[in-house]
Amino acid sequence: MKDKDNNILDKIGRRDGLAVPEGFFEDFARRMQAELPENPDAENTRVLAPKTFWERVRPFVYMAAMFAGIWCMLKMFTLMSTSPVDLSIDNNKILTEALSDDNFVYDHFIDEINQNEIFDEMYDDSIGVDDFIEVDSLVLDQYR
Amino acid sequence: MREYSEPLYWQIRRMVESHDDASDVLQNTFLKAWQNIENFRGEAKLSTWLYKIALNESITFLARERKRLNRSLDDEESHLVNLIEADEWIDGDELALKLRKAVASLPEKQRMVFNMKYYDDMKYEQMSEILGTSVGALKASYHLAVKKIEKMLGEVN
Repeated sequence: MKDKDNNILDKIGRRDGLAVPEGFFEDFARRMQAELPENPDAENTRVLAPKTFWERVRPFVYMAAMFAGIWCMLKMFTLMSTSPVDLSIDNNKILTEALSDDNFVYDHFIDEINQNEIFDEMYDDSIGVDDFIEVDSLVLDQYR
Repeated sequence: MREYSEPLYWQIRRMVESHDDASDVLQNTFLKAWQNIENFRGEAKLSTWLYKIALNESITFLARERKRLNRSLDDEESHLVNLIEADEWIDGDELALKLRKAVASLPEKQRMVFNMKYYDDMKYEQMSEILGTSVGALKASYHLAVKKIEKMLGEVN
């Protein structure tokens, strides 16, 4: 039965037995050209070629580059805006400790200054040695 | 236009079965295409796009006619057979006529699939683009259509 059926389709082939009046397609094309309305959009429309892979991913690549640039700029501003090294004595633990140590002050500050000159100036300004409080007595004894 | 009008005409004609109706539907197809040419992006082939419009127009025409003549979908087959028998523009033998009648008994979608594959030898991939159906489903649909037609032609013989 199946072979018989297949033979039927094979026998018919691809013929559909349809026909058209002679010159139908030529007439149709002519008629359509005359009947098609004005469509400036259509006339100006050009068929776009299919997009390549690069053309499809390009917007995303550009967007990623833009975000990377913004991130770099923010990073740079952050680095630039960090507060400068604090040199004040109050916030410097080592200096604070050193200055609170009397020996350190006498050894490294007062001794290095010409004490005679200081006291001379003080005498000139009518400031007595006794007025000078908390000065090492050993130092003061030299001037009494 | 000449390049596309002929294959589109045959596709439409096999759906509506009348030369005059096919001519009208073909005209509407080109008008629709012309009016919507800005929607054509060039990603699909122009022929695929035109086929899609032509088949949509054919189905719309058949549905409109059914509604106008108050005809049910079940009566469609006998209506199409009547059109085939009354068709004056034929150039085939008895067997070709029998095949046309057998194809007319198929559901609309199956008829489109059979026409495109059997008569136009169209690739399943292009049919898939036109009909918006997967290749697997089209193959199954065509296989079913062929089985039905073979059975019908076997019974007739």
